[in-house]
Amino acid sequence: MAEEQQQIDDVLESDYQAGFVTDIEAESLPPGLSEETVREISRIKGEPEFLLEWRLQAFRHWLTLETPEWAHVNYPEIDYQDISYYSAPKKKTDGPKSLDEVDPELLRTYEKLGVPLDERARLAGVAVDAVFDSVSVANTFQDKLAEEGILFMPFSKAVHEHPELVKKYLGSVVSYKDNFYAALNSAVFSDGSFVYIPKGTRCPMELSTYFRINAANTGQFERTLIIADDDAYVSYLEGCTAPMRDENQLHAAVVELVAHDRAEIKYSTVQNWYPGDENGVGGIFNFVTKRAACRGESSKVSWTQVETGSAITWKYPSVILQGDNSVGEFYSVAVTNNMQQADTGTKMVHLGKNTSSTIISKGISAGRSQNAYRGLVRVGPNAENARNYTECDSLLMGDQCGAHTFPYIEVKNPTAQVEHEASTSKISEDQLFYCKQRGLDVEDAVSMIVNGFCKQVMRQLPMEFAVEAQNLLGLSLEGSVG
Amino acid sequence: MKMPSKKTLTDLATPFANVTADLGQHVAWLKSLRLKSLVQFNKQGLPSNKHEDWKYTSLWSLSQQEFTHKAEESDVSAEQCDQLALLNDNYRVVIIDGIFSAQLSQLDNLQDGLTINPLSTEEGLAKAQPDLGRQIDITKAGFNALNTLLMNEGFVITVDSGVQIEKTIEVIVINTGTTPNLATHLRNVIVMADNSQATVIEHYIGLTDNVSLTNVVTEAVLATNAELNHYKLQQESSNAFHIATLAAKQGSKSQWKTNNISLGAKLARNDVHSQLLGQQSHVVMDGLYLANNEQHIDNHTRIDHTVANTTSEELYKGVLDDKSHAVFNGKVIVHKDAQKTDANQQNQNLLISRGCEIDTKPEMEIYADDVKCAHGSTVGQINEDHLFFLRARGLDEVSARSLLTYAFAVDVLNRIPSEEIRQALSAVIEQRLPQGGV
Amino acid sequence: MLEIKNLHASVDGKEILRGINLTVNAGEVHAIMGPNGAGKSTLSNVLAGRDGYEITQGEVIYKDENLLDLEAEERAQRGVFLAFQYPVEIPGVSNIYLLKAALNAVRKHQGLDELDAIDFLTLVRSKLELVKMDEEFLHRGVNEGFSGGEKKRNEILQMALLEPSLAILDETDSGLDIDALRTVSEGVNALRSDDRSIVMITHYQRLLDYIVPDFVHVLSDGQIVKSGDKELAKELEKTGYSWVNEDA
Repeated sequence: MAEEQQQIDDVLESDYQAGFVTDIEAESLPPGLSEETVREISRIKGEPEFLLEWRLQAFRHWLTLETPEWAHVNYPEIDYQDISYYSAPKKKTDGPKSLDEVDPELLRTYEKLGVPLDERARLAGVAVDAVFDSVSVANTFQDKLAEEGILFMPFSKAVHEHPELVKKYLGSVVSYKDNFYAALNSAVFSDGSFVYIPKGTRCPMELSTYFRINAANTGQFERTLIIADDDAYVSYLEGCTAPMRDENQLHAAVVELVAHDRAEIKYSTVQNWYPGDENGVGGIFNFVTKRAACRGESSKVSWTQVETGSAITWKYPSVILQGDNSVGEFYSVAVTNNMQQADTGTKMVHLGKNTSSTIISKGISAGRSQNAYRGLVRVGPNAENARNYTECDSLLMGDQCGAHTFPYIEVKNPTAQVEHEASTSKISEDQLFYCKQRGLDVEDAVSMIVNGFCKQVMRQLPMEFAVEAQNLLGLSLEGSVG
Repeated sequence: MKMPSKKTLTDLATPFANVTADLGQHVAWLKSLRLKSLVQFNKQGLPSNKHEDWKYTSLWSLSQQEFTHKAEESDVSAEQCDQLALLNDNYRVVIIDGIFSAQLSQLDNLQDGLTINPLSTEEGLAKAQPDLGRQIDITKAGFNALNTLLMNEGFVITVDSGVQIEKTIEVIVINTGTTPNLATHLRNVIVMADNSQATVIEHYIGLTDNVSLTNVVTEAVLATNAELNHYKLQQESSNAFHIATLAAKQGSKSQWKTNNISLGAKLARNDVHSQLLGQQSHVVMDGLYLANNEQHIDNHTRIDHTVANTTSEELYKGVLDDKSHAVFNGKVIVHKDAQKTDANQQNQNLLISRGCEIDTKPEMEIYADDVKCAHGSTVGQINEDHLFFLRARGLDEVSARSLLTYAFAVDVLNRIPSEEIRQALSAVIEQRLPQGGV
Repeated sequence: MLEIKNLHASVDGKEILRGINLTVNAGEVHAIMGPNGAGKSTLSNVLAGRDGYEITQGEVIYKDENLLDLEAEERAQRGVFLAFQYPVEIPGVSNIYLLKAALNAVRKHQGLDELDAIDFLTLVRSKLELVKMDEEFLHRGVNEGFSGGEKKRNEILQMALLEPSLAILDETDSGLDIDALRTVSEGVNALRSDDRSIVMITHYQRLLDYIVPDFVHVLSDGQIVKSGDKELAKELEKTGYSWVNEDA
């Protein structure tokens, strides 16, 4: 068997020598996906053998899988041979030369969100030097974090500097066998973030600003791994409140979180990728696998997400509650407008004793969009005294959109208490008139009412994100009530 | 699970290979309908767990059975039948081992405007023809096609325009166990003309522990302003397979109140479906499942709000004991333009014992904005505070638990208008509870 | 301040207001009384600019502008305030947030800067005393779980803060016990001034014992059928509304 494998590898290797790109400095691979592509990515990044091997296993598994079709979304078939799976940071000549060349609509959005000027250029992909004040700021952060023993670095750097940690945890929460996109990501991921918080350490700052920089060009297949050791705490902010200009159609990221004894991880996302235009042309397919393992006793993981972007969102940030007394939380706002489609929710898998989970999901649909909550609460046979509370509310704006709820509840332990509630409503004419009578224009009134509807979720966001996220809600729904 | 991995869909249908129905060999429309369902059934057979609607219910054990479709003669006395009946002094249709019994049925002096016929008669077929097969979808994976292919008996009820039927119609379907591994495929049709009103109970009884299969489809049509109270009580044998589809199309201002009580069978599956096609139509879809030992009870419900101003209320409750397994999947679909829909769906489960399992999935799909829709689902135990209260009032723990379980369960009967039926069903539920109830 | 000329309005093709004429000068308090179905609430909704009413004839001049040309929020920004008969609940939106957004919308229209958080809070606190409300109310959702009396006091609080030129009080006394009525009335009285006009719409005379009007009008079947001073209200109290129609 091993011999046979060796032969196969040899053949593949020779193939590569014969025809593949030999220039190590090559900035991107041609479109196409094969075992050679995977080897090439790994080689370019100078990865250790174990990681290449893992990628290859993932790739071989991916070949056996079919695209999942159960979600309540429609989109044209993706040609995976038509995607380039590696590209180095983009050349400065890509994209617009200055802000004058940027879509004015995009700029207006930045202005409304209060994005600082220099940041606007970066978000819009203007080819200015990728050096901002924040880089030096980031370095200051780095020093401070290093003092505490906190590791926070690009994934590719962690592979070299801390291979033992990567080897131990990579794929331990989201196996490459988990699903189609997770397998694809595992085979071809380009980069991402790595965080390790040592025992007893409370990360002194929100890990956020830095992320914006380090993730800017990691592209469509990023990989995040966060480990909080015993008694550690970290709050991690991902994403961007301003819409990102991005050529990538498909985003298939994987995020893995591991919380050991009494550790706590708070992971907040504000996702505002390009949603496509009002006719559904363009926009990102956001197919993300996010999962946390509460491995230790009394550990806690809290996901908060505000999803307003992407043409299609397909993500279910989940928590595996393994440790006794562990806690999982999921707070979500998903806004869809125009032709957007969202199928999002969570999975709470109760395995340990006295585990509890809370799910608060607020879906807002407008335009001709479709917005679905899909969730799973599973209580295993040994999960004594498991508790779950789920609240799922939908707000409909206009008679062309859809709001859907698909909760799965599977209970195998008689001591479990699980409660699921869902409701659907619309913004009432009375509420709108009341606000207008107090002098607010329609857009402000809608924004205010929607923010009120989402309050339980919004207040979970760290302060620095909350205001931007609030503005974002209003902005995403502009024009949806006339 | 011992679900064989390579088992194909058609393999699951093996027990039904080479079976044909006798009924209506000479009736052209029926033959053509059967032919269509044969094509359909050959295409898909019976669904595996990969089918979303059958995710939690395996038909593997069913597929391992050998069924006979020929019933031997059996003997049920009139007295026995009286004892088994839920109600006395009403219209009664009795079907024994898949065959209509004129002798045990009570169909004399029917009220004007009411007809009740077995499907196996010429009148029955003629009355059923306009509506039979129209409320269900034979392309839906599973038993609809099989039933259409093999149906041999059933009842056909028609109520004329403006007629209110005073007596309840109880249909008693008895599996005597005389013929082991007997499979029966029943098709029932209820046609309610405009402004008519009737109450029908379907009552399924197994007399032994023998293996059997009841595969039944009941189709109801409610014209404008018709009201149908429809209840089903399932008390099949502990080794029975009971597969039932109940589907109604509802015209404007019609009211369908249905209650579906599953107590028996080793494996029971109900598909209940209302299509609200006329404005101001209303459906009450309630149900109860009490499962113990290794029973598996699966209820799938679906309500389609297709036009404006329709309403639905749904409450399904379950009590799970021993190593039983229950499945609830409730689907409420508010179609585009079905504005002012008001839909409420609740599913509540009480888990009593280690080893039981509940899989519940209350779904909503909404394509209109001016609607009021809510659903809820709970899984839990008897409230400890309530228990303590009762014990503080002097009840022992067993009685207190029993009382609270009973109270939890009979709650689903609240929307049954007839006091008599409510009481009869309460009594049945009480008997069936652990410790024999209160 | 406000001049209503021959105002006709319909709902779903049915004419409710059938030629209203009314002039309200600065500083005046007018009471509009009438039986159920006379068109009282329609009048207040039309003045505030609620959708769903078709103006078939007439005009409403407010501070030299045709009020009917303006959107509801534009009227509000120009100083038209409606105290609702049934203030709506807006879950999750805190009272203080609405107050601030409303005040800033009005200030923006007036060309004033937005108030900063501290100045705003100081201002709100001073108004809270007026309606005897606890600061805790500010942080609850708008009218969420408020009692009837609390909702009405909240309306007056908003009025006190926004300092409108024209306040329309729609059945402000309905659903109030005597203590709440007194509090609300004191709040309104404190807001009476030479440059502010108040139009009170009410079914009962009892509110007028607390807020004494300069003029009283009787609205019946979509028209003002009788006008007078506060004595007219007392007369109505004695005789009821039935004579109104006969007289007209």
